[in-house]
Amino acid sequence: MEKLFERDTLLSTVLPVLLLVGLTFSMVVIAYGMESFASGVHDMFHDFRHVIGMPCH
Amino acid sequence: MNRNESAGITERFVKCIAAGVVWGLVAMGINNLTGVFAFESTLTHNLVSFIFGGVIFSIVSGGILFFAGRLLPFKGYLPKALMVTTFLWLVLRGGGVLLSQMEPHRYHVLTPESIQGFGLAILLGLFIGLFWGQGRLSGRAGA
Repeated sequence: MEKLFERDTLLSTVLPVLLLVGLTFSMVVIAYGMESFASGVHDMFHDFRHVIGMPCH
Repeated sequence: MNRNESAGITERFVKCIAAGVVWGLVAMGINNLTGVFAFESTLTHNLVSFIFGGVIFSIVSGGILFFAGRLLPFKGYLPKALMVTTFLWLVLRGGGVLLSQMEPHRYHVLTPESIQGFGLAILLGLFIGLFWGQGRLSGRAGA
C-alpha cells in the first residue's frame, strides 16, 4: 500500500516537475540559440527568436 | 496530489499545447503585418519552428502558473497568466542583455523586436488565461 502511494506520488508530482524543468531548459536553449547544447537549434529557431524579441546576430 | 488534481494537470497541459499552437501562428501573422523582422526561412520551416517554440513557451508558462499560481497576488487565471508570461519574457530578455554585453558581436539587442516580443508575451498570457478559463478546471492555481 505504501509502495503504491509512493509510486502514485512519483507519477503525479515528481514527473510533472521534472518535465517542467526539462522544458524550461529547452526554452532557454531555444531562446538563446545555444548550439553547444543542441546542434542546429540556432538556425531552426532563428526567425522565431527574432520575432519574440530575443537578441541574435 | 489527488486524482482530481491529476485530471486537472492533464487538462491544463492539453490547453497549454492548444494555446501555444495558436500563439505561434498568431506571432507569425503579427510579425508579417508589422514587418519588424523580415523572415529568412521558408513558410514551412517557420510553421514548424513557431508552433514548436510556441508550445514549449506555453507549457513552461502554464507549468509555472500551475505550481506557483496560488502564490501570485491576483484572482483569476487571466491576470496570473499575464504576470507569468510577462515575467518570463523579462527574465529571458534580461539574460539576453547580459549575453549581448558579454558577446556583442554575437548578440544584438533591437528595440522594435523587443517591443514586439513584449507584446507577444502579453498575448501568450492572454491565450493561456482564456484557454484555462474555458470550462471547469480542478486542482492547483485555482482562481
